Amino acid sequence: MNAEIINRTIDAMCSEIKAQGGSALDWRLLTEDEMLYEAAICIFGSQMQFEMAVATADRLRDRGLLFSKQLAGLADCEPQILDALSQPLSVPGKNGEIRTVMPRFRNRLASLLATTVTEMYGKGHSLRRLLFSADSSKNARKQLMLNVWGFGPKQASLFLRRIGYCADLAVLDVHVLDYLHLTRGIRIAPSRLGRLSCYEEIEDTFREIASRFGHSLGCVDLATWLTMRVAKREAYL
Amino acid sequence: MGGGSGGGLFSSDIRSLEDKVKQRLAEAKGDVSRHVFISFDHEDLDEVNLLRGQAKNDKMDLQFDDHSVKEPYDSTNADYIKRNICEKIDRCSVTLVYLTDKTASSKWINWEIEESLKRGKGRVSGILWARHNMRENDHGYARETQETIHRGAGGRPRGAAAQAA
Repeated sequence: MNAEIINRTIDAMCSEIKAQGGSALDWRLLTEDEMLYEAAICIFGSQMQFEMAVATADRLRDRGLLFSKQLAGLADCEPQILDALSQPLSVPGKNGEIRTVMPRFRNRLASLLATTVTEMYGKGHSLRRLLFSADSSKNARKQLMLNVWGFGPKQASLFLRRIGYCADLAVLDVHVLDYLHLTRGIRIAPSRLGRLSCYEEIEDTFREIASRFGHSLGCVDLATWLTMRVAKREAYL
Repeated sequence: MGGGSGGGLFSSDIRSLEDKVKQRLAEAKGDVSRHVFISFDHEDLDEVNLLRGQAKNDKMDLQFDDHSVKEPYDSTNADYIKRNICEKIDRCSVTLVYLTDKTASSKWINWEIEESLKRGKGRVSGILWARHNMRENDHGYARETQETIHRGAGGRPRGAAAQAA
């Protein structure tokens, strides 16, 4: 399958995504707990498939482990989070069937979330306050990377997109990187993107590509993610 | 860095959008199918049939609508054969020459190449897409595939020609 078909599909999907714009969240209306839930999805999403990350965050929320006020005073939140992650989860599979899966990297993920909660709420900070104090989306991303454990540039960008904070940051995940390789011949080791300067460099390249589609960077990025994910799954690539 | 993303979409939105992507990719793949005339020596018929079979496999990144001769014409009338072959070439945008050690001695391939170039009329004129398959003695399957492009008179650069095709 060539780049032309992929680009044509991305273009079509941009229009579909715009048509679904009504479902996006408004970060100003979200409570701190809702933001923490979204942050948990993004932390988990760096180590597991999206559907799995959502199911993991759902499990924690169901057990009352994503309530910011409660967690702030909880001395043993990490073992509790770890316990919640140590039991299998039901996740929708590729063809809609339900699979039972054990979350991977649960020690690390429990530690990241617990440290974030302890550090941030223990010091009287919050995600809401952090976002309100940022003067730009890039600054908000930087602040998130400094305050949320497990947030690199990709996770912070994803969080800002998911809560409807901005649409001008790219989520450079493995599918988007594969797209850049397919269409531009750019090959980047995902590990290099942990550095913000490198991330922003590739993001600028992707921004230039997005402008050709005539849609926002966030919209093209999401359409690319969807298209590449399906193209790879269906073995077109 | 893993693959989980999902943008600002909910899981149900993602599933519905993924279905649309799937549909569009399948349609797009059908749209770009080339009409191909395969020029080959009749002794290579089995190998060419293998190539045709691969093009029908959805999992293979090889797709074309085959308009070439399926079986050698049962006739000794050269004009009749040429007329039928020309009709087929006219339906196609690309002539693909299946190159093997038998190609050089073939009675018809040279003529088919010349006729393809002549009838190109600037669409894909002068472009032959030749595929050379090297057979493996041990298992009989082609292991290495090399693609070469031959340009005839008035041919365009490879990239432009491929797009035009």
